[in-house]
Amino acid sequence: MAHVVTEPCIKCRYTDCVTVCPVDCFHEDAEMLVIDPDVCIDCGACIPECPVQAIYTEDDVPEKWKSFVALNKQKSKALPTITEKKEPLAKDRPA
Amino acid sequence: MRVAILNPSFGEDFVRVARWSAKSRGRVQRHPEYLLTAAQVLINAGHDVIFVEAAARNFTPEQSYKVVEAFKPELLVIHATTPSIYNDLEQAKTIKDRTHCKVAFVGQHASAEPQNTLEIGRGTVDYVLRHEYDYSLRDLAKGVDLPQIKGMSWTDGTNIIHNPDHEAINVEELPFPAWQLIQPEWYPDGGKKFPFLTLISGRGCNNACTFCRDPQLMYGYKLRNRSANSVVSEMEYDLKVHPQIREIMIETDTFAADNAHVTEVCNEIIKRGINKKISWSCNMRVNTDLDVLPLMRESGCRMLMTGFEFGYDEGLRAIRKGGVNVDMAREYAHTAHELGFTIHGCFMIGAPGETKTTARKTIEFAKSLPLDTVQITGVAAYPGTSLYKWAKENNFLLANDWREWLTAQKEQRTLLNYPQLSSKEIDEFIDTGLKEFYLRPKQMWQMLISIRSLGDLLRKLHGLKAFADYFAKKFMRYFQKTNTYAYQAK
Repeated sequence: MAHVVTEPCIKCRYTDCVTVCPVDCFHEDAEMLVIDPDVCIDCGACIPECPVQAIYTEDDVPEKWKSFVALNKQKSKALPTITEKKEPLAKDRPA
Repeated sequence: MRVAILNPSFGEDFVRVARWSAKSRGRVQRHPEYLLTAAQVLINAGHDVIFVEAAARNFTPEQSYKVVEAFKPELLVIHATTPSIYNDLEQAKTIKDRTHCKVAFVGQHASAEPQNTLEIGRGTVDYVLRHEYDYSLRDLAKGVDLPQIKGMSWTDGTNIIHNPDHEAINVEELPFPAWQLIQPEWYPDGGKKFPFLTLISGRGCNNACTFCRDPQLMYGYKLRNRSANSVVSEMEYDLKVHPQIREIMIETDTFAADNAHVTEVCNEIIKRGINKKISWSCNMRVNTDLDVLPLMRESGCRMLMTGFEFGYDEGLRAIRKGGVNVDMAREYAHTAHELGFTIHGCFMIGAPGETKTTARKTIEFAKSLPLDTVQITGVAAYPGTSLYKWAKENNFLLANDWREWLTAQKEQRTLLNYPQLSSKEIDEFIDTGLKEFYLRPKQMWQMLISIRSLGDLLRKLHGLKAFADYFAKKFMRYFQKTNTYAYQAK
């Protein structure tokens, strides 16, 4: 099992989560973050950091976003790691 | 090779291998299970090993020197700690002067500060074995070329060299600890059935708590659980080596992190009938799957040492204790209590952002739960942790020297000092919390009626003595200080 970044992150991408990850398992593309399930240790430290509730444990991903489990796995392998906070894409979304 | 492993004394009742290295408020001692695993690795490789438990046995330095000297070691191994590092160096130097042995330091402090340890230990410390040291130590004893020993920092007399890290050890390969080198009676603990032994069911912890040293410094974030067969075989081995033990404490940081592992261990315990011989206890997190609790109880689990930490969610978040919240903690405590577990609650004061209001919330939370005993400690930021780095960067750490880490009585000194909450206020909240929790008539009555055996009575008396000793000594120091001030004022 691992944690999964889901739909609310798209075009939002607050990056508070990456600053608390002890194993640097977040990767970024132009629109969102994803988690490498092979690196994630399931500590859950990132969940409360996300202001838009985009991160779930694999078991808790809502049915409508189940496709994000595979998406995180697939995308994370090719994308660069992100470890430092950046300006969010959606500045008008709740902080 | 002849290898002496020494746990040096450092004042009375210093607990060397605990999470907080200090004289504990509960006056407990901790078994050196990790050192003894490494000792057995050496024994299995054909080396002669002695283990000198000077800390738990309150040896004077001279007593330690005599025992080690008589053994004529070629290598001395010391688990150094942050507050005792200069004491450890001094004892190592004396032994080195008398026996001309090589000296290796291991443990969290040396792993966090290998360069500093070799610098301040110049002429005394030859090697620092960083992180998981079992196999690095075996390689060292075997005589492997120094540059080839993974996980080792060392000095050639002029330069300090840091070899690459050792890869994580396959825990299934490790032997059971060399319990034949100690007596369980050396390690008192009012919370456990006495005597008892500890057991490490795996290494690594999949949690990000910023204050915790073991995942950050020793065993990493990947959980490496041993098989249920191996864990329960160790229980049987423990009973064979020390048949007098009445309990086994699973000291793994997060024994219950993997539900399937816990289920397998419990079923194996029941299958082999160990639950009919002794009880066992373990460390717990409040986000453990509650469905596994009945099976744990059935398999003889008696006490859950549970890290509640704070009574408000922001505190848990501030130390990155992920996947838990206060509501979850409350449900866990009530469920475990109804199932008949004894619950020891671990709480802390001094999270980043802590205020008087939030510290009070934690105390009230502790009192609101059905707990049997509690420990309340100041959050400690040890070298090598992300909390230490943060505290140093923000100038929230009082100590500038390793000598300043404990009180004169060798008790834990709260070193985090915030603009909104001083270290002194944190200490006051700790004492207030302990007194408020234990001195409630309801709590005293609960403790009284839970005495079912002579062992229970002795455990409670040990706890009561420790509680009285801690507060009596505090009162005496306060009284002496007040008198001194009054005298100086004259």
